[in-house]
Amino acid sequence: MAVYSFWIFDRHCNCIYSREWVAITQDKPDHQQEQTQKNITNTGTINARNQDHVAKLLFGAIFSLKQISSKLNPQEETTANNLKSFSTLKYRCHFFETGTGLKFCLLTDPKTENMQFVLKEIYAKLYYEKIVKNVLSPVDFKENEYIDNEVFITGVDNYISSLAVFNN
Amino acid sequence: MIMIYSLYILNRAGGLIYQKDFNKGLKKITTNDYLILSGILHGVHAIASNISPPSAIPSTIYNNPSFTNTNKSGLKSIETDFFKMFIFQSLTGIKFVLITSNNPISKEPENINTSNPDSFSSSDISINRNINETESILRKIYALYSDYVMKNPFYSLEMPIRCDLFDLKLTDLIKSFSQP
Repeated sequence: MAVYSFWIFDRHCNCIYSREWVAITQDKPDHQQEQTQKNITNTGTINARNQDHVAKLLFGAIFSLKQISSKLNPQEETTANNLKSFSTLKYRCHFFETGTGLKFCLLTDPKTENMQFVLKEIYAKLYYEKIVKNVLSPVDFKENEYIDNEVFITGVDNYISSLAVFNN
Repeated sequence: MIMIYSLYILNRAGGLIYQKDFNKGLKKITTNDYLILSGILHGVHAIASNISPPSAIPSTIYNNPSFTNTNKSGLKSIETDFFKMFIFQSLTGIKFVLITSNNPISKEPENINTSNPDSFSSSDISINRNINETESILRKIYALYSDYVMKNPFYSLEMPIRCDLFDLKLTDLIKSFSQP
C-alpha cells in the first residue's frame, strides 16, 4: 500500500475531508513459516473524528514549512514559492494549495515521485465539479463539518485507487 | 550541475549554531529570522515523526550501512518551487540542514527506475536520487564538523561555531562539489 491518506483543509484551516487507507496484514493460516500476506483492501476511514489531532499536526507542519519557503523566496516580489512536498523515511506528504487557500495533502510512500498532478486533478475534476458547483454544499464549511457528498467520496476513492502507486 | 545555497547547523535544542551561504539563490534574511527559521525546522522535524501513518514501513532506500544519518523518523527533505532542503541528524542530535537548488544534482542524467509512470518532468523525479547524493555531502560535512569543530579545544558544545579552519575546509568541500 503506497498511498496512506488524503486530506483537504479549507481556508479557515479546518480539515474538511480526510480519508485513510489501511493495509490489512494477515497471518497466513498455512503451516508455512511466519509468512505474512498483505491483503490490500479498500478499507479505512473517511472523516474519522479521532483523526482530529493528526489533522491538526499535519496542518501545523505544512503551515510552518510554507512559512519557511516563503521566507527564503528569492523572487518575493514576482512569484510565490510554493511548497511541493516534504518527506521523512516513512512517508512523503505531497501538497497543493489553490488560489482560494484550499489545501490538499496526500501521504504516500517516500519512494513515490511528485504527485501534485493528482491533487490538481482532484481539485479540478472532483472538488470543483462536485463541491463548488453543488448548490447544496456550503461555501464555507463550519468547524467539525465534513464533506459527506457520496459522489465526491467515491470519486476520490476510485481515482486514487486507480493510480499505479496505489497497489505497489 | 550542483548548486548548494546554504548550510545551517542546529544544536540539540534547535538553536542555530552555524549558518553560511555558499551561492546566491535565496533571499537574505535577518539573523533573527534565521533563528526563527531553525526553530521552526526543529519543531516540524518533531511533528513530522508524530504524523507517520500507522501502517507506514520505513523506506529501505537509505539502508546503506555507511550512512551515519540517525534521522530515522523525523523530517528528511522539503521540496519547494525554488529550492530543496535536506536534513541530516547525527547520533548526538546535531542537525545539518543543506539547502540546494531545485534542478537535478547529478551531472549526467542517469536512468532511474520510476515506480510511477505518471510522473513527468525531470526536476520532479529527482528528489529521491537527490536525497542519496546530498546524503554523501552531508556526511562529509559531518566529518569536517567532527574534525575541525569538535576537536577544537576552544569550542564549547552547543554554542555558535566560530572556527576558521572549519569555515575554510567547508568552503573547499562545497567548491569541489560545485565544479562542473
